[in-house]
Amino acid sequence: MKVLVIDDEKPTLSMFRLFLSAYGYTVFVAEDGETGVRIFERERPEIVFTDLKMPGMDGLEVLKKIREEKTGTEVIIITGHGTIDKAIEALDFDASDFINKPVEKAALDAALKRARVRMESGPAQTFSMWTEESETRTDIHIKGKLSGLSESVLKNTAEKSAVKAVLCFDDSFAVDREGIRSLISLIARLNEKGGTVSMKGLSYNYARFFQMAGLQGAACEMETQPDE
Amino acid sequence: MLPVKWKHSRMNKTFPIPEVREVVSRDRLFLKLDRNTETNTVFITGQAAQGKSTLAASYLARSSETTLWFHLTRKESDASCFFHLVFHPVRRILDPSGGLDNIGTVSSPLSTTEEPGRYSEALIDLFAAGETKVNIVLDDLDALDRDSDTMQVIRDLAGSLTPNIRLFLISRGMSEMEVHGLKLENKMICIDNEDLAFTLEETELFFQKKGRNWLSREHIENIHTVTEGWVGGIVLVSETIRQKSDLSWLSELIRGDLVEYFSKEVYPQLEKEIKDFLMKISVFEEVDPRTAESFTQNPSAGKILETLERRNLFIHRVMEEKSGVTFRMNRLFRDFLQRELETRQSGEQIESLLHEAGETLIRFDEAEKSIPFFIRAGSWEAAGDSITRIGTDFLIKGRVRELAEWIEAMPEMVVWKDPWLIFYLTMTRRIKGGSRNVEDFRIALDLFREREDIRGILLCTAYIIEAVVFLKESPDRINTWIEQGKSVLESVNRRPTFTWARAVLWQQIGFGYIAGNGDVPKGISACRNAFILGSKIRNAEIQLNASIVIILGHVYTGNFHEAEERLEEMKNLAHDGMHPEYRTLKNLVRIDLALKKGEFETAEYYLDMSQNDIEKFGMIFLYPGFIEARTLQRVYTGRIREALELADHLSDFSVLSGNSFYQGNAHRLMALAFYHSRNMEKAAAEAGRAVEIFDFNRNRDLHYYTAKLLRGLVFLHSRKIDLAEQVLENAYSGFKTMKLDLFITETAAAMGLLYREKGEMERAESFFLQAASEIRTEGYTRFVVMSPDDFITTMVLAAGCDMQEDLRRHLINTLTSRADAVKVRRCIRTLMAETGSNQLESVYRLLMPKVRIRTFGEFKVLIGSRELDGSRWEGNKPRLLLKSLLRHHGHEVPKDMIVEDIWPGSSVKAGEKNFKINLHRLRKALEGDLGENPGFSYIHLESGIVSMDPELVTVDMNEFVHFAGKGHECCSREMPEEALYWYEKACGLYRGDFLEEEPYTEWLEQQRISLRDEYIYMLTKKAEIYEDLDRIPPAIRDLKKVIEINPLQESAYRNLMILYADSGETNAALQVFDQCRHTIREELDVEPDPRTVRLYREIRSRHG
Repeated sequence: MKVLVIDDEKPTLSMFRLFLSAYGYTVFVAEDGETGVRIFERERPEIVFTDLKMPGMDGLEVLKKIREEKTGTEVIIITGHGTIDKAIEALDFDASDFINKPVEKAALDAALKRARVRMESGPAQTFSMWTEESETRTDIHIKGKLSGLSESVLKNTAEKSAVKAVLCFDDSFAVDREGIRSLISLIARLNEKGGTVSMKGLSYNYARFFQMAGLQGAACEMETQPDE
Repeated sequence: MLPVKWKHSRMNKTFPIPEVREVVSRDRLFLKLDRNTETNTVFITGQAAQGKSTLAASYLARSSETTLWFHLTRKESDASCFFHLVFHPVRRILDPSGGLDNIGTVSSPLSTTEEPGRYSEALIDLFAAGETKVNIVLDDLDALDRDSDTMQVIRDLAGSLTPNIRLFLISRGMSEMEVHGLKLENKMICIDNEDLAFTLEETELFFQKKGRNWLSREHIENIHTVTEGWVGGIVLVSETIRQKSDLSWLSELIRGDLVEYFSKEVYPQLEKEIKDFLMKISVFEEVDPRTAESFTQNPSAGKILETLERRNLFIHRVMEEKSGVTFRMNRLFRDFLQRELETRQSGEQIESLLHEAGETLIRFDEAEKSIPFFIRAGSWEAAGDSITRIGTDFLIKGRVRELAEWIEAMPEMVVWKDPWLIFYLTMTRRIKGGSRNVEDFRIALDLFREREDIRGILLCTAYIIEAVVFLKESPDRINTWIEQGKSVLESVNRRPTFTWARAVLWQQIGFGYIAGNGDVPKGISACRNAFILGSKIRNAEIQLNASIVIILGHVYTGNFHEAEERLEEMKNLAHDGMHPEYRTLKNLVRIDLALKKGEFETAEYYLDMSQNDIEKFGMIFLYPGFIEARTLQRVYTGRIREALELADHLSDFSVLSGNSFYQGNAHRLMALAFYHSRNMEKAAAEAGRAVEIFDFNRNRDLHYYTAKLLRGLVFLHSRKIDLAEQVLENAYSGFKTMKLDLFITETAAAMGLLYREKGEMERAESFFLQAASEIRTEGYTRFVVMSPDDFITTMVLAAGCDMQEDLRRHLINTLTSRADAVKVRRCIRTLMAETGSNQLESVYRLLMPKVRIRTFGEFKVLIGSRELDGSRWEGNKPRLLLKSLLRHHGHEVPKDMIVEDIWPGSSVKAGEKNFKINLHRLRKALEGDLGENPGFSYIHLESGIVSMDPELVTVDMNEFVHFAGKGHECCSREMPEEALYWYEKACGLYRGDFLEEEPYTEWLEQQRISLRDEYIYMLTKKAEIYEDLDRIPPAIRDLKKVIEINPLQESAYRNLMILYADSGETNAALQVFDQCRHTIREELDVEPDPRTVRLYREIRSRHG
């Protein structure tokens, strides 16, 4: 499987190249966005890792270019200090996943695993949500891509939910900027009711990303998938 | 027909030039090749049957140089296959004594990429190994896949050929860009289709030689036009004419129809037996008579092949290592026959024929060749059996591409039932398969267990360990597999079977221990077992790979000395080009050595080389060691910011690999960088973190104790003496246990600093002396942890101890070879100011540059190797003061004598003042940038007596006088040879008169005359001794020199006349007299001395 890594830091590229080769991938690297897009067009890798902050064409533009090609490529955004706004923006362009610098082994493994699962399951699933009620809690199952359009559904759910709510995310879960906003307001509503909110099944990287994006501030507990 | 004879005598018998039937000599093309002998690559391209191979074969058959001819097939698209085809035959010629013959795969346990570059490098190195001229022919280049690694290897070779190698590439086609690229660089000469096509004259000559003289010029022109000079077409026309004398068809023929025409008109005319035979054997790309006979059940098979070959009917012979003579059909002809086969036989019949071909090959023990036939026939069981037979050998040789293609061509349900097929298939994706490999190996392992196939279990377990290590799975998981491996090994230990598989498993266990969970001693022990088993079965690859993993262990723990020894031991096993891992490990050892010696540019060179290799071949396990070395190089060269970035990068690596040892090491390197940049606060924090992590992981290796040493030094700077003592004592005993001498020495030196700080001077001195003695014994020139400033302080304090003078000198020389003398002197001044002690005076004196004064000829003052700049004198008086001092030999000269020389008649007060001012200026001129006077200088003044420091200042005049005295003494003791020695030394110093730049300074005159007289006396004396020793030429030389200095010294003329006369050179003797008489008349207006005149007459009369 081909993987392309785009980062303006040479040592980071060397490291990615060594690790991903050891994992069995055929690795291509680019030191800037323009070269990365050229290599993408030539090699059509299944997975692309791109840094957000780069001189010239930045990671967001790379993501846009790749999405224009409609190849179904998994684009994993490498985030660093001070790039959270851009990273959230990247959600609108269907970034597949996020990994934070310095990249942890668990984060890389999770991103690769998630990319493989998404590739196997085909195009992104449409959003769906259902609840499972028990005496003490409500499990809110979330599947597919969550966007601003689903806000009313979330609102209704929040109203009906028990004091203790568990947000259960499916493997196919994805989100855009408006989706995050909706999620934050859902959690806020649940908190307003004086209950506790926790999250389950969230991928390792999404959990980290949500923390960065302020969901931790929304006072909820996160529990990542057991094998991550 | 002009058959070309085989040249068995001078070429490798396996790969000779094929025998070709050359009808028309291609002189014009030979000429083109001869004119371009400097161009190493010859590319011959053209359509099928255009005479490409015939041209190369007939051209090379004329040459006296060795030729190796390789027929390529698609299987050589696998670079490993191509490498094995070419490497060994070429090495037998170019490097018969080099390396081992049984080198198998060129992959190694540390690499993740199958980089074709390693094959290119190995072949390019081999080509450069000998000077024998070799022509290498790669025939049927077009059989290779265009984008294959082999094509890349061939491009690399063509671009880097040594002058002794000429490469002939024969192909039906090759990408324009590839050809042009090399052509533009003047590295390739191309003979294309147009060049190869017969000219009209050649066509005519062809038919004449074929005995078709009756063909008219018009016929020939027609044939030439129709065929466009296509050699194959001309042969077909000739064959048709042989059967049909009516030529009416010729005018209607168009070129494209030639083959079709041949099939319709000529082929049916052949006897049925021959036709059937040809059709059947067309399933083979190459066939030997024995196989052809068995396969076709035709006892005349060999004869038929020979006849067709003789008739030039698109069959030629080649040699094959195993089966001797084999025949190969031209592709055009074979394609035609295969089409015939498909038309005339059903699919089932063809499958049966292919199966039979496979079975025939099996009967002749050709399992490898049988596989494609069984696969095409759909005979899966037979294919599986053959693959199982050859699989391991293919893996050892790295021929995974073919193996993968064959297994992937088989139905999945067949493959996934057979553990060997699963194992081989998974091995073809070694590393590349990632986590999938572990799953697939486990499926194979379960099946092997069911079948109780021990060999399979051993190998599967071995490669699972390798896979989980590359996947960086947790140490616990790796350990589980290691334990399983050990248990299998234990169960088979008593049986002397499966040695290779056991060796592979031991090696992977070693790899698992070292690269997987960091247990280096256990890893080394396991690899030693692998090495012993490898030696037992003489498997160089196993020995080499086991050694590489052992060296990785040594490098990992910083034990470079052991690594170096092991590298040396395995030198003969490894071929640098074939084993980049060996080269990289060797370079890491070289880098360590260069860093310890302070050769930072050398280290940088090898660092660049290593980086390139590590990235190119994916040697992830060598990467952290490389980053560490690069960080150290940056710290030592003062590039602290870069060092910190690199250490930070190592920290990132640690996070990504989940290995906290690297994290500890990253902190240690950051601490070193901060300490070297005098940021003690940060250094302390980082060193603390490093020690904490190492402690937590129970790492007790070099890195741990180095972190402690560093921490101790930082504590010393922060005046935390007790803490410093604690960690330094610990580091000291740790290094002692590990027997790491350089580190023991460095820690001893640090402990000297510590105890000096504590005021325990005796203990401090004892550590300093220990360090000093080791520095001299082991030849250390620097320390690896201490900052340059601390190193200077330590060395100065050590040199200030009570020790033998030569040891002190050695320390100072070592110090000044590494540190700027100005810095060192500043350090001494600071230390002396701190302590108020004069203990370091002697050290300071040793550090002052020596002054050398030349008084003969041009006056010069040299400070060290640098001449004192004239502008530094501040007027002429300080210089005169020095000259006055020199006149009195510079030793214990009352200042009044100097004042009298320079300021005669001045009042005492004025004289005193002038003297003081100018002595100060003189000292300033001499001492220059030495800085504040610490109490020493080159010129001392004590109680009105002036002296030059005899240890620091030497004067040629004083030496002249000394040597002269020694010479006189020897003369008086009748030791002429010794006297000569001293006189020569003295005279050698006399470059001109004493202080000749002061001709009008009266007080120097007497001294000048006296020294000149001494010089003349010594020259005369030397001449006498030389004469006595019957060494006339130097005697003559010296007397001439006397006359040159004092042209009025008649005795010298007389002696010279005698020497010439006695040597039979009467005329020269008489000329000397003439010169003497002329000079004396001119200068004194008198005649020569009667003794001279008498001598003259005597010489003249004696020689008539």
